[in-house]
Amino acid sequence: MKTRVGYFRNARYTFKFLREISSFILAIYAIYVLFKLLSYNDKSYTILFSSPLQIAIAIIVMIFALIHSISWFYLMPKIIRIKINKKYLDSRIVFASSLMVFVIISIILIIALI
Amino acid sequence: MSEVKILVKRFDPDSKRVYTSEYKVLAEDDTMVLDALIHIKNEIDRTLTFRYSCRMGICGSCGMVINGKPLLACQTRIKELKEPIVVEPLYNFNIIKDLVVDFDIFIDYLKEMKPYIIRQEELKEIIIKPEELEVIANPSACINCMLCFAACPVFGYDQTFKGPATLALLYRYLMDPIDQAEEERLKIANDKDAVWKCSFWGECSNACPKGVDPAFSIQRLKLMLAIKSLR
Repeated sequence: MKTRVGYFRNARYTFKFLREISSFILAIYAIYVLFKLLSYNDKSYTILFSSPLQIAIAIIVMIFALIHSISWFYLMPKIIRIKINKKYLDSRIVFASSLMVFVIISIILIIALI
Repeated sequence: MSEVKILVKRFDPDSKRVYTSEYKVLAEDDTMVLDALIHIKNEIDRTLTFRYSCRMGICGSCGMVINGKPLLACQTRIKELKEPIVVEPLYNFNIIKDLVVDFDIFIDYLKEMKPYIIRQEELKEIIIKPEELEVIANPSACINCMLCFAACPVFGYDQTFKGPATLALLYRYLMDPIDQAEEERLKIANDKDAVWKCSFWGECSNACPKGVDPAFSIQRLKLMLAIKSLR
C-alpha cells in the first residue's frame, strides 16, 4: 500500500507537467513549420497563418512556448549561482534578468522578421 | 488555546484497511503537529503509529505529509495550518502502518552511492579551502528525512530512479577534496537510473527542511558528465 505523488497533485505540479508536455508540442510544431516552409517557394511566414485554424494552433503553441520558457527560467537560479561580495544573487533577480533577455531577443527577432 | 481538528489517514496492515481517524486537540501558538500526535497517542488513541525521535528537526524521523505537503511534524506549527489538518504517511513509500513507511528502498540506493570517503593513498594533513567547504556543506546538511523522495513525481512513477537525497550525497562526496574516487562516482551518476532520469521539477529542493538543494546537485552532476563526455 502506497500513495504516489502524481503529476497532477496540485496546481504547481500540473504546471510543471505542462512544461514537460510543451516540449513535445513545440517539437511537433517546429517540424510542421519546417515542412510548410520547405513545401512552398514563398518563404514568407504568412503561409503559416493563412486560415483561422492555423492561427488558433499558432496561439495554442505560443501559450505552450511561454509556459515552457518561463518555467525553465524559473528553474535557472537552481543552476546559475552568481556570487557578489560573498553573497549569492537573489534567485528572483536571476529569473527576472533572464526573462528580460528573452523578451528583448524575441522583440529583435520579431522586428527582423517583419 | 484553541481546539483544532486533525484527520489522520491510516493503514492497518492486518486487514489492509485504509481509513481516516478524526481527533480534536487543544493547541497553543507554539504547538507543533508532532506535539499533537504525541498527545493523541498518550491520551486519546494508543493505536496510532508514527515515528519520531529528537523533536527538533535534527533526526528526520517524523517526516509526513501535512495538508498535502511533505513536512517534518516537529517543525510544523499547528497555528500556521489550515483546518482541518490532514496528516498522511509520506508519499511514494510502502506504508508499514498508519504514518510509518518503509525506507528500505532509500537505504539500498544510499548504499549504491557509497556515501563515505574513498582514498587510494593514506590521508595526511590536507587543507580544505572555505570555497571547497561551501560546496560540500549544503548536501552535507541532509538528515535523510525522505521529504524530497515524497515530493519527487519522477520517483513516484518510476521507483528505479535513485532519488534526490541519494544523488545529492553522491555529489557531496564527489566534490569532497579528500575523496579520490571521481571516476567511480561519475560512473554511478551516469547510470541509466541516476541523474538522467531527473526531469528537474525542483520539488525536492522546495521540500527540504534543511535547505539542501538536491535539484542543483543533480544538475551539476549532469553538467559534469556532459563535459566529461566531450573531452
